[in-house]
Amino acid sequence: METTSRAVYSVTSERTTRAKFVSWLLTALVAAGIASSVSFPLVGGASPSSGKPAGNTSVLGVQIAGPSAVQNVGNALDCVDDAKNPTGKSILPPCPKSFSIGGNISGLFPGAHLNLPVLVTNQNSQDIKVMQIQITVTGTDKADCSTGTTNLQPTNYTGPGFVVARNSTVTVLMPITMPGSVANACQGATFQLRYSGSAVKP
Amino acid sequence: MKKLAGKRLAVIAGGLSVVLVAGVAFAAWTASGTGNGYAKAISAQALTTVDVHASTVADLYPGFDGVLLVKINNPNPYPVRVTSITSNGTITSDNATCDTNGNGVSFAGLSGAALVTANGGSNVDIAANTATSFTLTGAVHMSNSSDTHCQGATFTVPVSLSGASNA
Repeated sequence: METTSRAVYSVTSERTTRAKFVSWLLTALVAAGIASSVSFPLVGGASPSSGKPAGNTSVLGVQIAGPSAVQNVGNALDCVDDAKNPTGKSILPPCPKSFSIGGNISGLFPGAHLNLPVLVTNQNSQDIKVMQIQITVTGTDKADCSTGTTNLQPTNYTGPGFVVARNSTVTVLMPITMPGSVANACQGATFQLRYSGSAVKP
Repeated sequence: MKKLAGKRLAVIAGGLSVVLVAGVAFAAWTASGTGNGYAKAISAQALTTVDVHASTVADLYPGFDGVLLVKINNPNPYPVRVTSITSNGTITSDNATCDTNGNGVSFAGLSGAALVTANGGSNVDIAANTATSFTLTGAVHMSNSSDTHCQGATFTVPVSLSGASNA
């Protein structure tokens, strides 16, 4: 969703050379993804476009349009992507790219209420706090055994969150149920599970 | 020149304030995770019967129905309800002459409501990993042609069991 909010900053510029500096600075903000466009509506004094302003100062109202993807601003400012920091000299911490989730369980039977051990691996150099994990049943190997909740009911994790230290793995137990009414065709079936989750900075 | 430098500093400070405001507003980053796994179901194990000949009670005589005592083992980790018990072979006794001359004992099989009735009005339910005995009233019949050597004999009735999970 495009951001439409705008911020107005007043910058004092002595002459055109100062305006050029402001232009340079704000252009850099655009390049960094902080602003999508910059304009210089004249608030007071003479317009730079009309030549040198009279007097020592001109007051410019600088309008900075917000970026189209605000979230990227946070990422850009709070951490640095490894690809953009090959030497590792940035003062910002590296951005966590992703984490992996996996887990298998066997021995399901009609009416079973078991705990599915889900392994969350954080291969990043920063700690993360996993806030939610979603499990989707994507398929089975039995034609008449569907992926619906009548046959298998995994439970998603929705918080309060748990920390996975950098370069480590945490196992969480997530309830999974096979209803007593499970289809007979599901005997010996293997259900494929797809995990997805999100984490934040602890 | 001194005055000019001060104004340049003001401009720089203004620019930095933009950075800081944005940094505070979007300080938290998020990361996403994905992966795959599986969940596997077991296959049902067959119900079996347990020898109960030592527990039988002599109530069978020519021309009448008697009790079928059956003990069913459920090796599954879930409860099972037996839905039918059917004959599965020749009924024999512990007296060879009785069988040779004809023991006259038969089992027609039971299922559904008839099975429940024979079990005293209750379903034939077996808990997980359990063996349970059932006394099925009037389930076997001894004809009038039963050989006299069958008196006091104990009969073995081969059966086939059908059931479903009852979780």
